[in-house]
Amino acid sequence: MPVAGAVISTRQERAEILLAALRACPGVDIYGEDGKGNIIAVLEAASKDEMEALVRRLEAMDEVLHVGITFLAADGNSTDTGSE
Amino acid sequence: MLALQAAEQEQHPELEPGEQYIPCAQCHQEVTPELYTEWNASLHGIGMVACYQCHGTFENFRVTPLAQDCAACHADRMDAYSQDQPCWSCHVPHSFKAEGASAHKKEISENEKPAQ
Amino acid sequence: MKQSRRDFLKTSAALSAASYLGVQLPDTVSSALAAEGDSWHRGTCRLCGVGCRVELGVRSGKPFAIRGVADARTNYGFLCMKGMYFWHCIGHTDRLTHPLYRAKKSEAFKQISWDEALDIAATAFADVVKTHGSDAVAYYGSGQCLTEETYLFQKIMRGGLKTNNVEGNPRLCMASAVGGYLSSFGADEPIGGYSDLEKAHCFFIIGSNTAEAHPVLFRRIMRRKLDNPDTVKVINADPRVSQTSRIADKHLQFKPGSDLSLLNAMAKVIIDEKLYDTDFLANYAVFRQGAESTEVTFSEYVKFLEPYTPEAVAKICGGNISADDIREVARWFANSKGTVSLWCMGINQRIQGVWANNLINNLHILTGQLCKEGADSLSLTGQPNACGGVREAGGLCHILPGHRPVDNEKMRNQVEEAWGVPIGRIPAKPGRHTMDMFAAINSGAIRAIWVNCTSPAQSLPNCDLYIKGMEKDDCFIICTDIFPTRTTELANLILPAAFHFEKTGVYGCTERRSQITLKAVDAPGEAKPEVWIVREWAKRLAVKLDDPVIAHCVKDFDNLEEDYALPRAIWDEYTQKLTAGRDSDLRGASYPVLERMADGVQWPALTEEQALTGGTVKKFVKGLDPLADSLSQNDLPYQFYGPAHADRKLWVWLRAQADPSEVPDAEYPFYLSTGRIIDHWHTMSMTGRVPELLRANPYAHVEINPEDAKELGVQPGDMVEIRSRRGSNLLPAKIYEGPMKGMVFAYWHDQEKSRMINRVTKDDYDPGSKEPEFKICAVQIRRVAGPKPIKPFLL
Repeated sequence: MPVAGAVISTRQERAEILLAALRACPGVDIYGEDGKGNIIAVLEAASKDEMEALVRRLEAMDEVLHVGITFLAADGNSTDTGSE
Repeated sequence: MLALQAAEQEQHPELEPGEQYIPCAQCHQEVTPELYTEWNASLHGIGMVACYQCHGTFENFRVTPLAQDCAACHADRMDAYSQDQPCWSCHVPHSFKAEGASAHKKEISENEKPAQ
Repeated sequence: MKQSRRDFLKTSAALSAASYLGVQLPDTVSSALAAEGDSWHRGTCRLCGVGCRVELGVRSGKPFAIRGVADARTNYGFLCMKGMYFWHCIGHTDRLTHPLYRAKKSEAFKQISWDEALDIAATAFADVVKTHGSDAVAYYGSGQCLTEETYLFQKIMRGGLKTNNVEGNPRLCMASAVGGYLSSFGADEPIGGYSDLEKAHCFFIIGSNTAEAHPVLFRRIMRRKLDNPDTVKVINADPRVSQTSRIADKHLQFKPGSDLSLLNAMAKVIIDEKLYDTDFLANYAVFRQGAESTEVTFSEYVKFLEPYTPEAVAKICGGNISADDIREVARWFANSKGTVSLWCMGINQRIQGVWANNLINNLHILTGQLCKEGADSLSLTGQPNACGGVREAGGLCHILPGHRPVDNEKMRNQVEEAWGVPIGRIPAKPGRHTMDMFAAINSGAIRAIWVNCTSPAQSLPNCDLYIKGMEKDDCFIICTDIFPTRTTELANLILPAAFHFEKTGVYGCTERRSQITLKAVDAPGEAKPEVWIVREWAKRLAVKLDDPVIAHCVKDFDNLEEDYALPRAIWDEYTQKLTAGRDSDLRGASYPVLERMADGVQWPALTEEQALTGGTVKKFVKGLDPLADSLSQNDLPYQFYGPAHADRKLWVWLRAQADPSEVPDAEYPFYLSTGRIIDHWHTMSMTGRVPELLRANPYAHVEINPEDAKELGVQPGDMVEIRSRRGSNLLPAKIYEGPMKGMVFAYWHDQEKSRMINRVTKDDYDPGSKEPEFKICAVQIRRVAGPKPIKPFLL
């Protein structure tokens, strides 16, 4: 199950609105924003195909100017437990 | 379910399942009459804030409510909350009237002006 | 602290994006040992018509807490216990999670796939339409559906299946208020709203137990009264003493059904003592009478009121009412700087519900207690979205979206054009109203019905009669719901629905305010949002009926993801195309606007700018209502442009006392009334599943007046049989005043058959509003046994 780090960009004055919309999106977790319209998000999907579809959906959203992936892990298997 | 704060929380005396279906206030009118009268006459009583909203039900019972119980309705008042000075240190149960200078930074809204 | 590999990856992913931007993330995330962040999601409470704004706390994809929104102008951060706990329905183990089907109602349900389920749903309706015609199918929805759901369903029924058999449970609670507002003011829904509460100097609460049915509004009234004990008056008129009476300066107890006389008597005092507002009447009002709305003169109105002297009416009302009481409350009403009336089911659920509404509105028109600060005629709406969804978006058989009457050709054509369907597509006649709809199931005239988010098998009056029809295999029943109910018991197809906060959509509350709830968590199992279900069903209907117009109805919604884009597109179509130019204009209240607000938008709000301030606080007032400005015809400050009054006047109605359809007699000597308690909602399928709420009121009681109890030999907790001409119940007794002598009061939430009071109530309805008289019928009472251990019951 892929996990991706993303920077989702919008115009500064639209950030609030986009944040609200993103919070409603399944598979999207908001971690912060830089106050200039760039939103830090983590994306999760069930498969590679679904991750691609999610990114396309985000790019298609009205307020989104760009979705930049900064990190991609192909197999974020949640049954694995790591060390502390 | 909410986690209990510490082992020092008293448990509600054990009741039969059938007895658990008697509303809190009904028993407590007889068992703790002064407390009931005080609550009933307070804004919480008239406004029908029920016992279980602050104290939970049997499985998650807490004699001393948690901060988040107050926060459900009074989130904008939590600025004055701390472990050393919880809500009820000024707002004495069950009348909840507070005396002296307010510990709150935020001005009370028009909607909430206290009774004269 | 344990952290999964997945958590580690998520943290790394977030940090990578943050470092790309040069942004420092909060400590909780930067630390690799952190728990996932808590997030708070804004929305509206799922229950009652107050429209409290809440934030749901979510952690690891699951809700863990709720809190009020302090800046919301509905609740100012406060919640009642139902608001505090309803979110426990999310993730509850009893949730319906898979489609269930049975061909015959004698069979057990089988789990099936969505593909199969949608196919069955489409086939069932298509077959009935082909064999028996469009009017043999029906939709029965709810004031708890999101506006987007109601709007899309009724679009498919009317524009797609060509039937106006679209109804909803607000027919059972608010139809009389709608009829009252339309005939009194020319427009539905209150002129003012909650902001009048803090400015009022007199509250007239009649037929409402606000403390238990609208607790967070009651809180505002309580504060207003307690902060101003001498200058604010509270009048509570109710045959039953309730928790609301605690703040009343005067509690008027009158024989059930005699309130029409009481209201006319108050009007008579206002006339006789010249307490009416001459200018307001001269500028804004006319007097009307009868089925033809014949205009009459002020003198004729005065003459009409002659029999309603306080002395005569005190006798009619009985109870504790004296002639002096009537005079005093009339004077308080008229003379106060601002009077707000509030009412609910006691006035609406009546054979003369519309008339009772008119008579309250009359008092406001006579005294000019309208349009100014602190004055309003405020009908309390029971459900969270009866206004926004059903009344405004076309959810009743006789109205189309945007407050358009079905039987008006120009209105139908406007909707047809907006939908891009052929002119003439929407039938010219209204469909069957609720009681007629379920009678038609009994008679076999309706053979397929979709019941959405409501349980008529328990909530209809005289329910046993209608269960007979629903039980038969002649009628194919589809239910969308979240828990099993008395109605899913009678279904062929059960479709699991997403619950509140598991889907996105808008609710419009009592005060014309539309507010959005965004999806915050996933629905369990295969539960789906209704907007997706309707869309997919419609696509299949189009194929099975070989009717491209049905497909056209959902063409613009196809392929939209269902959690946000789909409801948003539906809301956009509804607001931008169907409310444009109507009195309920909501064009300014787009999703981006609603999402920015602590609360929401009161229509009319034509532009984003208007909407962002909160919209229109007072309708019809120039300077406050953009339509009062743009539609102004003269220099007067108030412009009553409501669509139902071509003369742009307020109408004072001559309405005589008319008794309930069934009153006590020798055989059935008691009045039965029914109602709510604070801890439970409706049929308790939700609230009954929260232990805190269940234990507060685990089963229904019957309240018996102490004097009656003495005569009947009934002690607290005794089992009492209540019997009417229709059915009986066996309920534990609560000895309490409570009801006046000669009257008993039963709570209606219990699902247990022997305690389901609608088996006893009566299904006669108001000829104008078609709303049944739940509130008054005649019963026998007798003690059957001593207290018995009772277990609460949930399906």
